[in-house]
Amino acid sequence: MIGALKKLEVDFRGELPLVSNLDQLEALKVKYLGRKGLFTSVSGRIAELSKEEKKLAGQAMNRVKLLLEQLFADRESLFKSQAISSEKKIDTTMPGTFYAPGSLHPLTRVILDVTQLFERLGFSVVDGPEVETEYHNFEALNIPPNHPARDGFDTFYLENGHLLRSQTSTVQIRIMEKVKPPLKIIAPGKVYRPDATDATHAFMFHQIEGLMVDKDTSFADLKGALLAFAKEFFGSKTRLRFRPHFFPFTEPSAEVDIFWEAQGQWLEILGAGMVHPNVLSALKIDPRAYAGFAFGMGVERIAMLKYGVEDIRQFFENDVRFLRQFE
Amino acid sequence: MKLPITWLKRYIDVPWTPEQLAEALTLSGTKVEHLEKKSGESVLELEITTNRPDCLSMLGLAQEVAVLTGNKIKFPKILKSVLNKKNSAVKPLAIIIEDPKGCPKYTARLIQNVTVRPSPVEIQNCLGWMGTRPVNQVVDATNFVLFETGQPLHAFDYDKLIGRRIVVRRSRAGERFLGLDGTEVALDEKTLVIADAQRPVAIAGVMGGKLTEVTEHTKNILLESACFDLGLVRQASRKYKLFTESSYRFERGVNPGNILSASARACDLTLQWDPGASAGPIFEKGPRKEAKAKPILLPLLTLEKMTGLKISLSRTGTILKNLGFNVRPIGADKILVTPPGSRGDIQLEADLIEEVLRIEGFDKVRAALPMTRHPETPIQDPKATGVLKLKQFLSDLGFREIITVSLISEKALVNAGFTELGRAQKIVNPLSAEQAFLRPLLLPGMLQTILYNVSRKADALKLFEIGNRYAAGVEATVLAVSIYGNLEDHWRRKIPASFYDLKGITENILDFLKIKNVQWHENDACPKYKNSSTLTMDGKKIGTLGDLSQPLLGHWDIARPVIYGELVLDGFFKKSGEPKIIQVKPLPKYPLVHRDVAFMIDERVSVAALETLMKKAALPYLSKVRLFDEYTGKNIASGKRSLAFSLAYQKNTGTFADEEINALQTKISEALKNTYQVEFR
Repeated sequence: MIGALKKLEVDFRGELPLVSNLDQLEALKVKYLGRKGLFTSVSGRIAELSKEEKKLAGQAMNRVKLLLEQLFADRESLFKSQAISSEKKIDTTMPGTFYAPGSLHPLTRVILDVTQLFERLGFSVVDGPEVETEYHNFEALNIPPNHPARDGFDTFYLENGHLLRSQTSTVQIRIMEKVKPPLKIIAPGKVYRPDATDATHAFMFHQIEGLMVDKDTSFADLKGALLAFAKEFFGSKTRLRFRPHFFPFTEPSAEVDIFWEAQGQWLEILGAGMVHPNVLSALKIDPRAYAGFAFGMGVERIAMLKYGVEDIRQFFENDVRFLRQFE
Repeated sequence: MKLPITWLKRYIDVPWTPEQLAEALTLSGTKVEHLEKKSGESVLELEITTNRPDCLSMLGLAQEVAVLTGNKIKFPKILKSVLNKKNSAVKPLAIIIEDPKGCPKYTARLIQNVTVRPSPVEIQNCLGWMGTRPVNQVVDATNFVLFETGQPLHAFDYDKLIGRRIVVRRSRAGERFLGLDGTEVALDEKTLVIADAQRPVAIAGVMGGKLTEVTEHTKNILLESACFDLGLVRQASRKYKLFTESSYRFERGVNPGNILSASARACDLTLQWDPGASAGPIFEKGPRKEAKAKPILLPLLTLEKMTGLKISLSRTGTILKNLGFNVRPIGADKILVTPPGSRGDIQLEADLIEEVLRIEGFDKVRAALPMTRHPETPIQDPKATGVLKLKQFLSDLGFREIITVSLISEKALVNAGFTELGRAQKIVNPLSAEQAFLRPLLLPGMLQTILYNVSRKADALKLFEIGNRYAAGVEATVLAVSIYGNLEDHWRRKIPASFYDLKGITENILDFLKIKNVQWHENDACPKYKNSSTLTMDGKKIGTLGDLSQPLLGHWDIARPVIYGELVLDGFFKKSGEPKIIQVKPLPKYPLVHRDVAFMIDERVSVAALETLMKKAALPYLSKVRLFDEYTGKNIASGKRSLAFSLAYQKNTGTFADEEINALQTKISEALKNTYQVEFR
């Protein structure tokens, strides 16, 4: 009888792998473990055995039965789990349904990059009005009426006698009217000049003005601040060149060029200088006790250089195919 | 300003190639825009800043080359006989200056018996390099000296001057002037002119007149060398649109010290080229001697403090001397500096510091990161930083930032529903009708952008702009935000944008800005919006948002709906005073109990009113009311809608018994029934 049990086990092990679904498995179970199944017919023969043999055969029967049940259960759970997974199968190559991203305007990106750097250097971001007075836009900045220095600052006038600021340097004046030095500010904003529009000129554009006034502020500080900016903004290999220039509100004044590996030539990027003593005096800041530096950069200009934009008008057309590139 | 190198070399040795010279000039502040090689001659095109009129002449530029090379300038020699001709006994001319402020000094020199002829070829070449047409030896001499010295001169045909008098005066009403270039202008009553006894013969400092022009028949010349008020020359030049080499120099300021020497030089050249001519007397009006420039004290310490660079006393002195300044040491650490008459721009210590530094070289200054070495109260401008943060937030929410121009046309304003044009500011001097107004709202730019992109096949747009608008004399920073097409559009969800989406985004923004006290008010339909809501804060209107009306979108050829909102941001950014510290509340000990309520109700009753009513009826236990469904249409009578709310009850003292919740639900049902005659479903 033990031999018969052994054979039953071997036969079962041979048949089990041929079963491929739950129905077949059920049929196999009936064949082996059913009421009239093979196991029952083999185990029925136990009555024929002696007492000693019965004991051994009983143990063997138990072992085989448990084994068969275990193997059935394993196979059954395998089929069930396969059935579940085939039911829930999805096409993971279909597009995800994330929320479409927005984007910052490239000019805002530049403004953020620049202001964040200067904030790390201890500058505060400030804001000023676009509609300005003649005084803040010109006189306070040491630009007298009827002076050729105004040529570079052609201005839109409003019917109410005010004007649209032609440079963000007006913010210097607005801040120093309210706050006494030491101070460090960075002021991004829109400016307006009646220039005919073409690929490099727009009647509205953005500037970022920087100003620092303290007891020992020197030209070396100006160079340090701008060098830090240039390296961070254009890359660590960027070099700077300061060329003497003239601005009514700074003395000494400089135009600043960068040498950017990507372009292989000197490119003018901003104007800067030490705050003119007349500007400080007009604000009741003693130019003998305090000195300051100021700089102003054209946001469109540096955005065009950095991102390879060839026409300034693209910034104001707002073609989403252009804006999308700044996601 | 053009600088032909051959011409420069008449006055100074240049040991450099044109490229080297260009580099040296550029780095010392005379920017070379380009180097042009024309028929064997190198000509540098220079950008001369408005503070350096002295560099609008060959001799002025020679001074720059002198300080850079260390070489000396060879000044042109003038015959003694010319220099010494003073007023003779004969008085063939009277000079009357009616406006001494407008003309501080006027000189006129008579040159007699000239035979008008061409000037020598090398002079004609020089003028050609400058872009000036050679005319004859008289005119060419004045132009050559203008370029050489920077002093504009003018030659009149002496015999054509009526009454033998020169009157420097303001023009009179009705007077006309015919310029050398053939333009005729009607003079206003403010223009400074040179007149003879009867009529204007030149606009002072700008252009001579045709009536007294030197021609081939001219025999006697009256050579004018003078100086005029900068502002008057500038005004006249701009008013009559006459931009000449002369006006260009006068409006920037000429050196009065050159008036006599330039006149002598031109006379000398004329005589050299025309041996038959003879120098006549010179007539002068105005101060004999020029006021000396004030000396400026420059302490070396100030120089060092301002530049961050140590430069020795002797080096500082040498630089300034080579620039033509008079330098006197005061003790061991100061110098007293007197600038030459050509350098009217030098008035302060800072001006001297720039001179020294630009020659020593900006590159010598070692960069240092700026520190603030004193206690500092940092400035706070919560708006400036807040706006940048808000832009980032909106971009994270899926909106694309746009920047549109702030000057817009009247048509754009009207088409955007802004009809009270009087509240908008007009630009006095626009370049075109497209820039007639400073925008009083951001809507036109937004619609323009939507149209631009829709006509380029964009089908869904979520856009925002933060910028300033100007209406009724007030400049305000505002947020404009819009949704066009589907809010979401992919294979699982297609959601057409609705008012509620923009409202939700606005609520997100208000949360982000920690703004709590905002009220929403429903508006009636208007020409601009179909449905809209107005937002107020502390009773003040801060914005409107809604579905733009069909007729308005029709003006812009936009076929599909646009949801648009414009919100004033100025009041939103508060100075952070004392930090707001979050205090954690203990979590509720007992769970929330949820129940739903659904009913049909007159569609005019607002959800806000129902929420208030329900909360009041189940005070204080109803902690949340959330609308989860709205339905109209099939099975709902017209004029009604079906609403379903999820209610959350909370008690702090224990769990609710079923009866308690049922009692609260009954209270709510009663309240709804009694107030609005609702029908429960």
